[in-house]
Amino acid sequence: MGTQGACRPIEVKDGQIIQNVPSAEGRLVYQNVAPFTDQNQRLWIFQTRIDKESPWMATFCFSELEFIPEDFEVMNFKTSSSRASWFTYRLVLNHVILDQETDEPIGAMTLVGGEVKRRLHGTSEVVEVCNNETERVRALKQWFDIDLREEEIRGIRGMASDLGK
Amino acid sequence: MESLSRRPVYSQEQLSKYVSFLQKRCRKFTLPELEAEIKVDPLAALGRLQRRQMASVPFGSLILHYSQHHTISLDEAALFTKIVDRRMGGYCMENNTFFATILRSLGYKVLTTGARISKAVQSGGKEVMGFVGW
Repeated sequence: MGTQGACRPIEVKDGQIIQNVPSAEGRLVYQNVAPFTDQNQRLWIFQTRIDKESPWMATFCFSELEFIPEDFEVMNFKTSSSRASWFTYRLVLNHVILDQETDEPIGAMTLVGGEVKRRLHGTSEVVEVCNNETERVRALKQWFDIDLREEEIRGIRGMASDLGK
Repeated sequence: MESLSRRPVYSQEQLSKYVSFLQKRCRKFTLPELEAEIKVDPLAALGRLQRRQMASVPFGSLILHYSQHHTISLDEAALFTKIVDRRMGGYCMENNTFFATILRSLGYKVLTTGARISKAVQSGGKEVMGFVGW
């Protein structure tokens, strides 16, 4: 889930709240979900809110049924290759930023399309806007320490996410 | 005959490489220190490692755009190369499959389940109810 997921273990208990990347919080609830036809079935729903004043938003839901690797092969196929899956047409990258003394989360580094944002202690700042591939490849190195190979750089050509030369 | 309930684990050498890879974005620690911490307080050690993982392994769609193949593999060796050697991160299934393998390699008992993502997250808040499939 990236920076929206839980950033610490959470006990599987209805109503449990954890601190997430500041000032966000995460909560686990055991409830029926709107798409179900059977009102008696319940799932664990992980919710997040950006701060104590904001409403809880469902992030993901799960059950205690064990999934095997073969299940993930099916899920991976659709999510990574369907033209309707946003991963295939939108370039997104983010990671949490930790306080290097305490290992507690203090912010996040985010790339969405051509925009690189850094959030620290609750304040967001656009640190770079990339207008072409050259700039974005350089930004990926500078902000994310990622070294792309030339064939990988060329791989984006013609895609919906391509920023052009 | 190989038991179908066995899951892959990484070697000590791979775990050492993983720990080295994490050092840039967290408080410095070694694999022996981590193993000792797990023995004393496995829950605290888990939380700390989880945050270190989230700091060094970005979540995203990078490889579906910057590659010739535009595909994603969940093979444990492929994930190790991509995440640790290449520092490219991965999306949910990649990062969680990888981290589950790391945790099992460290001795944790891990039960893996799938999640449905909320449409509210997918739509940036426009659709409030509903979930996408597994």
